[in-house]
Amino acid sequence: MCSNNPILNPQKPHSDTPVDIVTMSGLAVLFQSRNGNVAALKDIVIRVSQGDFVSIIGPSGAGKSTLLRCMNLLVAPTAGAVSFRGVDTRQLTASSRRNIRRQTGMIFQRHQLLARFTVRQNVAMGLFGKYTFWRSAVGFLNGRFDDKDEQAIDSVLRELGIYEKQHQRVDQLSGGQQQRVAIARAMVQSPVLLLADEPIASLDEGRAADVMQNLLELNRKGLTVVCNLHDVDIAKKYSSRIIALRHGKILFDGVPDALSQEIREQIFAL
Amino acid sequence: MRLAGLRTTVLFMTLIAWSMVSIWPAELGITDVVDGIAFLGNWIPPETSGVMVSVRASLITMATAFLGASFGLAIGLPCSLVASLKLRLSPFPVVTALRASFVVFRSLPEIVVALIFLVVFGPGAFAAMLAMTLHNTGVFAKLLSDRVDEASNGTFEALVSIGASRTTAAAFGILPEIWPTVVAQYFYRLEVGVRASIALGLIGAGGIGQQLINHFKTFQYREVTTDVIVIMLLIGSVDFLSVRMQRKYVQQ
Repeated sequence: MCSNNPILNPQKPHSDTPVDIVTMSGLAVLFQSRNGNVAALKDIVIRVSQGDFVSIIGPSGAGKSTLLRCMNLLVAPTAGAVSFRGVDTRQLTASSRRNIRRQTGMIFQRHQLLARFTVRQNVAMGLFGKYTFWRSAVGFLNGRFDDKDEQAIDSVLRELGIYEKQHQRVDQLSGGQQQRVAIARAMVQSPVLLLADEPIASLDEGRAADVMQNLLELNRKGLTVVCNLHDVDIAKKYSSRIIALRHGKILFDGVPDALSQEIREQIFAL
Repeated sequence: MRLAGLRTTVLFMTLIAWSMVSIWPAELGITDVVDGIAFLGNWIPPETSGVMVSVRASLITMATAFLGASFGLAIGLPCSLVASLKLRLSPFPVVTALRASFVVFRSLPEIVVALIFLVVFGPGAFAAMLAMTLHNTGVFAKLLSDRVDEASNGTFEALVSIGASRTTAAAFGILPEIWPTVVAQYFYRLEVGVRASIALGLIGAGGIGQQLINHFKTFQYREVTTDVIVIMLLIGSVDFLSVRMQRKYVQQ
């Protein structure tokens, strides 16, 4: 259902040439610590095109989350450039940065939902990016936004199979259902790019497969997905491309079939 | 280690002894105490003819505490977000200046501030309310900004990541998490405020405190007893209400 929903069916490019959503060139991120600077990312060159389903894999501390946060400008690179839909983000104003973030949905391992609020209220928070503080507050407290937005919320709730639970508190839902609420919150903002930071790390196998299937369906409808995963087999099963990081550097970037056992061992070597 | 412990104990006991000597009444004998207790007989039975006046005065005390806590929270809560080191809603010098002002507001005793306001605004509960508002603003802002800094910023980051302003993200990502603390602290300050408001009444800031001191100074001891009973009922009611409200809003 909802096959004509513009939120869940972002327009695919008209030409065959893939449109770049995010490009990163010579990207480096240094974090200051007591023992000096620590390089979280080094010499990163990535191009994410419209319709890609990119999985980023690597051991803990490889820089996967930092890479994702660079894509929606939550982390400013120390060197190199990030372009979003062809716009170099280095000199952007705060307002322009927010404008880019509005086009980027993000979901997290721990869902980051408001526990004591309902499913619908949590999904409505995805609209806050496009509204002012007062408009967000009035809409949220009244429990009602514009008709168009209310329809958008209904659509994503139905599409993700949580419409019946819309008035339930999110802390009464299972982990998998909570993650679907988080996906719905991201989708209600009609993003062109969905970033998922370890979305299935805290879920059991069945619920993890459901969430990955949700992401895959959204991708098949044209949404570009970049997903951090720790499970290589799941990454190979669902994504069209895999990027492997180790110590902040790209060790592999290619189609899943090209990821050999030897490379896997290199990525996760102790 | 043992020697250090002994030294601390001796020092502590010396301090206790010195403090007791400092406050011991110059001429206090056992007969004075017995006479004092016998004099309390003049305080009973309570004089009930003026009970409605005492009840009205206690409502003024209640209103003073309520407004002092509410206005304090209304100013202190947004200040706590602005003064948070983690949220970075304002430049560092602003955060530092705000935090310093909270220390000043908190450290000034309400009674001192009330004395100043009594001179400026004249006698009555208004001066007391302003003094309590100022003190509560400092208390709420400091307590809640610490709580904001301790809170998980996951939802805050989630909202920033979708393009929400930092103010929106703070209001919806942080406030819901610290809300139980906000409610608990509000009712706690309300309880404290009722007691403080009674004390401020003693220096002319209206309410049941002023009623009490007026009766006491004019030797109307049976009326004093009525005031004391009304005060006890007032404090008991506020405590009861506070516990009920905290149960309702905090433990949800």
